[in-house]
Parts: sequence; structure tokens; C-alpha cells
Amino acid sequence: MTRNRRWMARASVLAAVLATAACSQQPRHDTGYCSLSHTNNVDRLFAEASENLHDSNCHYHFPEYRERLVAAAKGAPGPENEARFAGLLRESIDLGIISKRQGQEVFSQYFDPEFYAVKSEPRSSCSSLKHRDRMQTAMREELAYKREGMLEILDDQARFRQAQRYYSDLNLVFDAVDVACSQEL
Amino acid sequence: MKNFQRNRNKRVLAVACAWALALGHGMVQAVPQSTAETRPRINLFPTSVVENLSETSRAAREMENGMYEVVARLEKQKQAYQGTHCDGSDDPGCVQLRKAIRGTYKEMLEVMQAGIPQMRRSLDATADSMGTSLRSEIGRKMTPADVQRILGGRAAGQQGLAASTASSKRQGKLSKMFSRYYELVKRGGKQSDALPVLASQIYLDSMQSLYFLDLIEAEIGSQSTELVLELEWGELTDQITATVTDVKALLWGESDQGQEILEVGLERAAPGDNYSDLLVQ
Repeated sequence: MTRNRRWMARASVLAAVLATAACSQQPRHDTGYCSLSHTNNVDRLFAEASENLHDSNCHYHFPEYRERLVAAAKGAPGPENEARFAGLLRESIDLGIISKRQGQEVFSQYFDPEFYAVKSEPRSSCSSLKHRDRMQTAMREELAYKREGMLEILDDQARFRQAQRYYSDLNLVFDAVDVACSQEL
Repeated sequence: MKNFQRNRNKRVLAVACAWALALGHGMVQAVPQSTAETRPRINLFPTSVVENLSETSRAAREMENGMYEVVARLEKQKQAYQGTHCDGSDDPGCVQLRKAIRGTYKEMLEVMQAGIPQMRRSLDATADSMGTSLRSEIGRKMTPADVQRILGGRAAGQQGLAASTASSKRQGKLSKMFSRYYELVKRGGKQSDALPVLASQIYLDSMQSLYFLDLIEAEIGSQSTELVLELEWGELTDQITATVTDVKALLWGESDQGQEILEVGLERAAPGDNYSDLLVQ
């Protein structure tokens, strides 16, 4: 009888251990595991995103996090958001989730008054301007990102005005160079 | 003998040191020069461009002086004609006014016709030299990224950002505009970040002015003096109005926004930020 009891006790301990182990090994990418909570607290959301991104199962959630964080930051605009995004992008680069170039692209599109679309053109102006429409479209799209980043996320009107100045000055110069280059043909 | 040898050695050593110092000095001077050469250099305004700008400004002033009085008279006569409801009337006063308008219009065309060749020559020269500069200095030598770098003033050591003049539309009095351009180009060395913008404005304005000259010349060509004298005012209204509008647009522009042009490159950029690793230089 005592033997049976002892056996029962051992069996229940083993069952408890196995149950605990089974719980801890449950697939972590179950519904909602990588999702961010429904809070509007920007700091908490950035912290959650950062924590989740350290888990390789959540890496593919990066675009979704970006969208959520942009939306949340718009709800609490201020200069501190720039450091938050920079921190998360640096972390994502270090973790290998995005390349350095992708990180620079995202950060520049939102927060740099200069245009990434222009910086990434490797050819001479005469050659690049043969595809002027493409570049202009990219610049216009980027200006929309800058509007989001500088006005709605950072609440930095001066910086956005600077971006607009680049936009109009670059377009003026590109107009003139385009005409000058085509005059030679 | 030993002393002589020692002195000779000392002299050789001194000469060698002097050469070494001289060469070293030369090297020190050469280093910043070569560093400077790695920056995008820009020479958009050679002497020929500056001379052409001065000449265009002078030619425009001469043309304006000749035109101003006659266009103002034409405007007054037109107002009087419309104000007295002379359109289609056979009243002797109205007939007289129509004659006067045709006469003034003919006078305007003659003044314009006389001034056009000189104006076209100088505008052509300005557009040509400016176009060549833009093509060779920016079009071929620089990537769009270099242009952006120059506009940001980084090539000139973190200097100011070019203020926008925003529009490529020609604005303001022609002679005043070109004389402002001339002044800006003369003192352009201090604001090299704004020079591509300035050069582009000058080029596009010259091209646009040439386009207006073409329009006016074509208009003048289609209206022989006989035709102008013989046609009735009613039939000529649209033609006259169109030509006068083109003349006014060429000479006096839509509105005088010269102050904006003067602001080019005078604003300062914000200090650098802490995110250089996330920015493409």
C-alpha cells in the first residue's frame, strides 16, 4: 500500500514536471504571441517591440511593428520620438532583421530633410534626369513620409519646411539641368 | 683637416634639413588642397555668363524705357474706349478713339520690333552660356546627390541652406530681375550652396523670356502695318489684347517678388544631429 502511494506520488511529480515542460515548449508564435499590446503608451509599445524583436520568431513582424509605432507616435508627437525610432532601427540592424541600408532608408525617409531618393542615384545628373518622372514620383512619395515623420511624429515644422525647400530647390535645379542636357541632343 | 670635414658634414646636414623642411612645408600645404579637391567643385558663373547677364539687364532696361510710355498710353486709351462703351459704335468720338488706339498699337509694335534683335541676342547668349555651365558643371560632373549636398551647404563646410524661390515662373520687371541676378552672381562666392538654384532660375527665366519674344515676334509678323491700320477695332481686340498681354508679361512680369530672389542662400541650416549612422552622407 505504502509502495503504491509512493509510486503515485512519484507519478504525479513526474506529470507535473512534464506538464510544465510542455507548457514552456508550446510554439511561441501562437496567435498574438508576437503582437503588440493594445496600449497607446508609446514608450511601452517601443519596449514591447524591442523585446519581441529579440525573439527570432517575431522578426517577420517588423513591418507591422513599424506601422503600429508610427501610428502610436503620431498620437504623442514630440522630438523624443526621433530617438525612439533611431534606437529601434539600430537594434533591428544589430539583430540582422534589416540591413544597415534599409535602416538608413527608413530613418531618412521620415526624419532627414534631404531626400534619400536623390542620394541613391549613382549616375550623373544628365543620365539620371532621363528618368526624371521616376525620381520625381519617388521624391513626392518621400515628401509624404517626411510630412508624417517631421510634422505628425516629431511636430517639427521648421524641419519639414527645410525638406520642402529641398524639394522645390532640387526640382528647380533638375528642371533647368534637364532642359540644358536635352538642348545638347 | 678633420675640422674642415666636420664643417662640411654640418653644412650638408643643414642643407638637407632645409630641403626636408621646405618639402615638408610644401606637403603640409598640399594636403588641405587635395582635401578641398575631393569636394564637389562648381564653377557655374564664368566671366562670360556674368558679362551676358549685365548685357541682358542693360538691353532689357533700354527696351522697357522705350515701351513703358507707349504701353501705358495704350492701356489708358483702352480703358477710355471700354469705359465709354465705344465697342461697335459709329460715334465720331469713338471712331477717333479707335484710330488713336490703332496708332498707338502700331507704335508699340515698332518700338518692340526695333528692340527685339538686341534683346534676343543678349538673352540667347545668356541662355547659351548658362545652359553650357549647367550641363557641364552639374549635368555631367555631378550626380543628383552631389547637387543635394551642395544645396545643403555641406560642400562649403556646413554652411547655410538655400532659401527657396520656389517657382520657375518669371516674376518681376525684366531689367530689374536680370540686374538682381547680375548683382547676386557678382557676390555669389559667399553663398555657393545657393548657386545651382540661382543658375537654374537665370537659365529658366532666360528661356521663358525667349519664348515670350518668339510669341511677340510671331504676333508682329502676322500683323502687317497695313492690316493694323485697316482692320476695325472690334475685329482686332483679341489680337491686340493678346499681344499687349505678352509684352507686359515679358517686360514687367506678373508681380514683383524680387525680395524673394535676394533671400537666396541667406538662411542658416539647423545644427547637425546625432543620427549620422542612420543618415546617408
